[in-house]
Amino acid sequence: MPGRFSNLELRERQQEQDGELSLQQAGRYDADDYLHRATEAYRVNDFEKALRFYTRCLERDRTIIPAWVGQVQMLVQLGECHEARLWSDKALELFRENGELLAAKAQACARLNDRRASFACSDGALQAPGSSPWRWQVRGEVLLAAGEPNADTCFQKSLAEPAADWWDRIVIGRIYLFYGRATNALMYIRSALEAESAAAVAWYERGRCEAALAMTGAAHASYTRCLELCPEFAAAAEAIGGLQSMSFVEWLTTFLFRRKRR
Amino acid sequence: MRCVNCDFENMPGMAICVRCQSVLLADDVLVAPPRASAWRLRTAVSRRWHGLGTAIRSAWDRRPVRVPVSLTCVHWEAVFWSLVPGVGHIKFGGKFLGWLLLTSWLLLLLLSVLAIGLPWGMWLLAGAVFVHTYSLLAFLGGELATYSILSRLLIGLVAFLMLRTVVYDSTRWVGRQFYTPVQLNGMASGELLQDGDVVLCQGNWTRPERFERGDVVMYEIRPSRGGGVIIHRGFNVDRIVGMPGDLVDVVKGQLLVNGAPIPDGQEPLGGGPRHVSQWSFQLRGGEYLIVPSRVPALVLNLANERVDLAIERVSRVREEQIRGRVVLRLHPWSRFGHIE
Repeated sequence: MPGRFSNLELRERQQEQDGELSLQQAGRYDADDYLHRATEAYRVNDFEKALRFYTRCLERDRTIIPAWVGQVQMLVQLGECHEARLWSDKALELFRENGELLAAKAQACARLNDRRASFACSDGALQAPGSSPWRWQVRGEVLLAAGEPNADTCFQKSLAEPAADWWDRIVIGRIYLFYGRATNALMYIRSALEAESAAAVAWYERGRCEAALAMTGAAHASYTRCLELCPEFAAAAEAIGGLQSMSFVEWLTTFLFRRKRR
Repeated sequence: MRCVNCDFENMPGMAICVRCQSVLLADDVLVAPPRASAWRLRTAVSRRWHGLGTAIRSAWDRRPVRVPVSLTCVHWEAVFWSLVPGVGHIKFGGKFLGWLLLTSWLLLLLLSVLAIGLPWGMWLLAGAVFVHTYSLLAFLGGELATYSILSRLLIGLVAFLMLRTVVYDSTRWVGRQFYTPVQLNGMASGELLQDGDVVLCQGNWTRPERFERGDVVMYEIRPSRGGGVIIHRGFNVDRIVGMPGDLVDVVKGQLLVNGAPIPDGQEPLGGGPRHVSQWSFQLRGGEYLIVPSRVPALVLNLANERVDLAIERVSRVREEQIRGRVVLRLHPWSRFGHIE
């Protein structure tokens, strides 16, 4: 029954066990390690794996809020926004009015087109103690989903946070790309590449932006560069395959309906 | 027991943080997130349904986090100039749009005047009102953008109706007091006026106190019943052939007024009382003889004497029943001209 149980952790258990064993052998088998591995998986676009690592992390220590946030983020990235919303609600029952979790919920709500809830959660996230690039990124996404003009200001604010780095530019680029603003996304991805040119994920995202803008040749080059840096980047290999099988009509449609930067 | 959410140091053994109500002891909490069902159809339907619901809800509700609308931010001077559509845009930016609005408004207005009295003339006028409404609301756009699409549509509709009622309908009402356009449906038959023609008739403020023999007038047929004849209310257009005090006879189908036949050019539009067998009466003071061109089919099924009675009742028109002279034929444009 491949469909129904496809999400159960049967398929890649064995592969992961190797990594776990090495960690166990090294005596560093704790929640932080799983959190680190989850983050690594997230940065190579392996959202399923990242989700599993976040879960393992929480199995060891249920008070690690970034892992709860990561779970919600991964569900959103996997397109399971209903589940993400449900899960963020559960996490918020445990950690009331936590800014990061509220921001994660706001993102899920924005992707579900529930503007009212997304605005409310984003407001709560910004009013909660502390600040982070993530909260401002979600604020930008909420505004972007609502068609507001100030989204970019929020993204700029997120980059002005002390903890912001090249990865935040990638996240912003992904958000823009999700809403079909490939030109805006490309701008942020390029700046991320200026900061970290050896990041495979940045090349991959750049390729996605270029593909969305019908710059097929450039997209191919970006994906190839991504695979050079990280040969196991499966999404890039798939994307190259997709580019090669792209028909002229598909290319023309992409070219004609690409959106200009606003 | 330090709370990971708010960093508050709780008493040992506490299960819930006293400051933020977060869970301190979460060891038995399930940490595996729910995943999308493998029953893809059900999931897809559920998601579409949810998407539709939230879309409707968010469209219906005003967005919660918004700057309140401030009317002080509105460029009132531009709104004032936009009372003439497009002028506000021309003066305060957006010249192309301004000229476009002004030209289209004038064009629509001109066409609606040319099509006056015709059913589609109203649509042209509605188009002109729409352009006018748009040019006014465009300067409130920044404020209106904070509302949901439904609210904006509602505001637009209210503005459209108000503008139409206050400006256009009142102007039309004043215009109709001078001259009223009327489409002749089932009223006229003859060379001069035909069914479907649009004519311009004098209104309340231009109606003369007395009418002359030979005038083509619009008049009201008042309802009456008696003698086996029922006459319904209606309007008609025809020529005045008899003045108050005149003696009217029909002899062998020929209409005689004061014993003389009707002079050329002053006959009724339909040629005369063809269905009348015998008439002999004198018009009272304030009473005109206007023989209708068309006789309803119902009347023709009656006996001769009742036909005579019915047509006589319709033809004897009181002065107050006459709305005014028909002065101009507007449509069709090929027959545009003054009515003598």
